[in-house]
Amino acid sequence: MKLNNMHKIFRKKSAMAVSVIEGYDAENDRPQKDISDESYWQTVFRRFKRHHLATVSLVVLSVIVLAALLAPVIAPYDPNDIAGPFAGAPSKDFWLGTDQIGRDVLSRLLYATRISLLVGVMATVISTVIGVILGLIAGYFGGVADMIIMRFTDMVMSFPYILLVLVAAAIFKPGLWNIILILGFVDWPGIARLVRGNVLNLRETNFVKGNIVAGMPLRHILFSEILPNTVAPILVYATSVLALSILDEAALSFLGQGVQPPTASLGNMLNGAQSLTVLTTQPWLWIPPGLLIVVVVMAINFIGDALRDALDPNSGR
Amino acid sequence: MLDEKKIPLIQVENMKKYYPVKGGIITHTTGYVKAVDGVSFSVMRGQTLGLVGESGCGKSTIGRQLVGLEMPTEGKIYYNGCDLAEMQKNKKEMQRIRTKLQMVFQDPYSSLNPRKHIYEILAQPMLYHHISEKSAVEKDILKILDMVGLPKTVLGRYPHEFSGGQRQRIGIAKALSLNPEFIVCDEPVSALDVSIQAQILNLLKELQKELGLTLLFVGHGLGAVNYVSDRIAVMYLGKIVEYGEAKEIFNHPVHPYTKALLEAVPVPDPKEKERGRRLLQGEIGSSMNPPSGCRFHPRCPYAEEKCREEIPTLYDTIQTKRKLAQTEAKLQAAGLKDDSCHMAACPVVISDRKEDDHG
Repeated sequence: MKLNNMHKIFRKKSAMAVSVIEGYDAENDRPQKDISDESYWQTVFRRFKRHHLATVSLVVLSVIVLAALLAPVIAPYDPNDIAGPFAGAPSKDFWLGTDQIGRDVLSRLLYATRISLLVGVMATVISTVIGVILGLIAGYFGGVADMIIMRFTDMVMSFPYILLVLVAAAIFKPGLWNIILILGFVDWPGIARLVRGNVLNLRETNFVKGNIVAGMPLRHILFSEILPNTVAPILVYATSVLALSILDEAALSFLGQGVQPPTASLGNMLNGAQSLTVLTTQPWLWIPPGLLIVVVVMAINFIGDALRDALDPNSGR
Repeated sequence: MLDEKKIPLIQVENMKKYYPVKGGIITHTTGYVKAVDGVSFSVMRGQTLGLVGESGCGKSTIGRQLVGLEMPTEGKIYYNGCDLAEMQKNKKEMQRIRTKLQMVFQDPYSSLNPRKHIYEILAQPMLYHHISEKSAVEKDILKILDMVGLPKTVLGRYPHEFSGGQRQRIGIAKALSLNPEFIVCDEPVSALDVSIQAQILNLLKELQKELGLTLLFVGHGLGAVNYVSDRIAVMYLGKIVEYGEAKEIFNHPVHPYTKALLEAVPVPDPKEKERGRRLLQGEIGSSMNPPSGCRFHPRCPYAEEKCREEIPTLYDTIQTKRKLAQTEAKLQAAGLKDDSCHMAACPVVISDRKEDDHG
């Protein structure tokens, strides 16, 4: 008899349990607190901050970008004006000295950073757009489209990179926008492959299938469901493309096929410092731009590394 | 036989789905995975068909064909009497029925876009299909959330803030939001805790009763499937081996595979151990190269020589019972209704049974 009663009570309780939602804090009418409710980007920022090197890099890069943006305001001289002595050593008036024809190195450096960052960012944007579009098409539609796009990607990838850029730069007149376009059209294969791989995965996930079943249009599935979920890896990859483009611009300009003088870029400032006399006796001409390239590229790479960890949904909290 | 009286909501005729297998030095098709190999069944409006079978027997594949995610290699699917493949050619027509066939997925952790909050997940399809207007959409969503037992505070939250059971409720809400007639539940509880499984099963049952939904419930545990289903189809290697009223199948299984499935259900009784259950030996065969004849024969304890050669078809197993009963009252006494059906694809057992009936 007793047992029977207990059984009844148990049944009642289990019936009650059904009406209560698991993991739910009924008193405050919200999900229980063990699952954090910070937004996605808050989590990312918190994880990012744990990388001290990257945090420092972010600050350094911000200062450099700010200085480059404010170049017209803070530069002491016009970068293309002959303002002082020929190849003068650093002094009170010219903090980083002057070059062979008497232009202020500091002013030129500020404007050069501007150009180099512009080239890097624009080339990265162009290659990312191309890569994302081709990757989306190849990954989502598969079949013949995938075959054609990926073989073309392999072809571009297997080309000796710097040679391709040099040939392109020789055919089209070297100049700021041509360099941006050339670099942009050469850097995309990596991103296209990355996006394709991600799309191949995402295409098979239940939430994409669920939206197909829900009859959502293709543009919604591609741009609202799939693309936001590939932003993280794209962002990480884009940082390395950014660093590479800055280096490539420097290399091209150093070889004389890049940004043309008198416009200053970090690369063609180094170009002016090719001779042995400059290298040995006038270090103020090549140390600042060289160092700036190293610092910018390193900072971007550190930030990319930290982003990779911060954006990884599988990494610990 | 009596199915002709009403038009079934979903009717599947000899459906086959083969997936090509690519290989070789120069990529070419080297063979086919016969995921579903000639399956016919129908689901009446407002009823639930349970689909059971081992992993890899093709039950989820059937679900995907029914909601139009894939097209069957062969065979026809009729929705409300109309050919689904024909309708898919007509874009307008497809838009109309698209929302009527919905799906609840197995894994609640991947069935919601992690970058969207619940409001977006639910509102976007409703707005796109003009099921709800911008001004009323929030109210409509709250109504649906209430149906699946979630409070209104979930709207601004992201999927990762919810537990598996809650996510499955959201998944069900998403399916319901489009006013479907037919929902494929692809193992909706197998990724959940046992205690939560019961909640979700009850929810599905209640919703079906309230909204008059028609369900295809895919699962691999006979217990859960039996709980929600009116009829059950047991599948083995891409074929239906037994099909009929849930009660009939549960109480009087005919096919040796169904029997084995039922015996595999754990019984919470320590004495049960002594009874010595006969568990199925061996592995499920290859669906690329299925066994000849009856596909179950390599594992079947009753297998005879002819099982190796003849491909068995579904036989009506209660025909004899029905004949013997003669009057309706007697039929009911045997636990059968007028339109009850119970078919099995095992001639060996059925012939044994007939002898029993006569004797």
